[in-house]
Amino acid sequence: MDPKVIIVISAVVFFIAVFGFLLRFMMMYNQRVLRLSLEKELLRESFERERLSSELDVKQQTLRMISQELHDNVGQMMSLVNLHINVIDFTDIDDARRRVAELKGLVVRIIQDIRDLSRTLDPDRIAANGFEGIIRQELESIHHAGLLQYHFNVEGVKPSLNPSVEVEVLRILQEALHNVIKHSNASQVLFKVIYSANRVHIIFEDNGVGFNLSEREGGGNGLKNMRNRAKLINADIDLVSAPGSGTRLELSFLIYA
Amino acid sequence: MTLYSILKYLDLFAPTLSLFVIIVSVFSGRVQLAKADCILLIFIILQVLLNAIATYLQFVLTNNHWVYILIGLTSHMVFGYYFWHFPGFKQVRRLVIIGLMLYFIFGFISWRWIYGFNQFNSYLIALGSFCIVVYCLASIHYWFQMALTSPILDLKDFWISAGVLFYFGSSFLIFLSYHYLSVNVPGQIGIVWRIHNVFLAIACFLFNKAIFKKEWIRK
Repeated sequence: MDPKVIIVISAVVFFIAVFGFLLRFMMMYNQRVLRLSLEKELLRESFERERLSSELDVKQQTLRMISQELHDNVGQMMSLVNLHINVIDFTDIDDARRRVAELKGLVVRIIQDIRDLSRTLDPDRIAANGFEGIIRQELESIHHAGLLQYHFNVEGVKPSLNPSVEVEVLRILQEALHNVIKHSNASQVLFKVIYSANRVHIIFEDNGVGFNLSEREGGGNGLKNMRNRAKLINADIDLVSAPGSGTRLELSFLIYA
Repeated sequence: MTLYSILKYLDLFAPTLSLFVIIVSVFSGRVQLAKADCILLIFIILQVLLNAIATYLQFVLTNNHWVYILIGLTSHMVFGYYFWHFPGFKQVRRLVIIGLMLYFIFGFISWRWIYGFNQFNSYLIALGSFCIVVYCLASIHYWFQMALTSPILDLKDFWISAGVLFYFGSSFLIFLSYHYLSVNVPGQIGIVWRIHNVFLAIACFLFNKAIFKKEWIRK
């Protein structure tokens, strides 16, 4: 056979082989892309499920907190009001006046407590003051009550944050502050927020009695709630504590444009 | 002008047309050249210039084989740089170094003792094509292992690889046998080169396609 013909045929065969190879490669690539997309979708669904479950946990925890507050505080005071009303002796005008005056005081306290509870849950207030503003107000009022000293520090310029992220961050910090007042016996608290280009880093530290983290990790609703809330906003939460050496909470999350 | 004569000058027409389309697209703002595109553009410009020189030399009946050696060398350099740089797999870089070393060593040997500079250096040009095909296949192998999710037809790299494989892969045998054929059946060598020209035209079309794509693989 003419060598020229052999070469031409071979070149065409090479060409067809390249074509076949590219076609096969495209098919394999597309199968792979399909598999990866499916895996991605499954991951997304699983993350979404986890997020919804965390959201449910957080909602239940909030309702439990409201129920507890109504029962322990408002309910108790309403019972007291009821008791006072029942024992008013209207034949003794002086005694009745004294008891009505006490009742007035109790009703004012109830109104104040309900207002506080409502303010704590009001997202508009959070949006207006920012989580750090509200924490500062709460620290200030605790300081005025003579319970503890505080250091408040904000570094960098605060970017615009998603309001739901602000709410979750505030709830985590309020839980931490609540724990400080209730359990830590601390005399000082440090609150620091660092805003960098794409991240917010928060440090909340007290000089209280601390606790054994491994003992509390499973049982405490508060800690579980804080972790759930952190998960909701994709934040990293780090809690360091040991008996006698205070507690340090670090919360860090990315800012998405 | 017959189809036969069009095919004869297709190695000049195809890159020229390709270059024209790119220039018009750039100046009309339809395309912005990325670094990978500049490498393709250099290849196309070199093809236009060197094939024009080769055609001119053929017209004036002067030996033009050195021009093809130059085309082989520049193609190897250009695509060696491309596969070195995009997407820059370490293993492919190693292959490019080995390929270029082999190319220069063999180039020196064949120039000194086999062909000289005035004959069509079949082995050297075929070796260059083979090396480029190996870089391309290795690159494809490594980017296939990445977790990419973009449609393959949207990837610049796919079109460049297709062009490289169609041209250098399909023309390998033509380059390898060209000297032999030109010595043994000199009167009919034209048909073989015309087929090479068709492969080059396909590659130019695919490189143009690549230039119009925006996505490329980043390691």
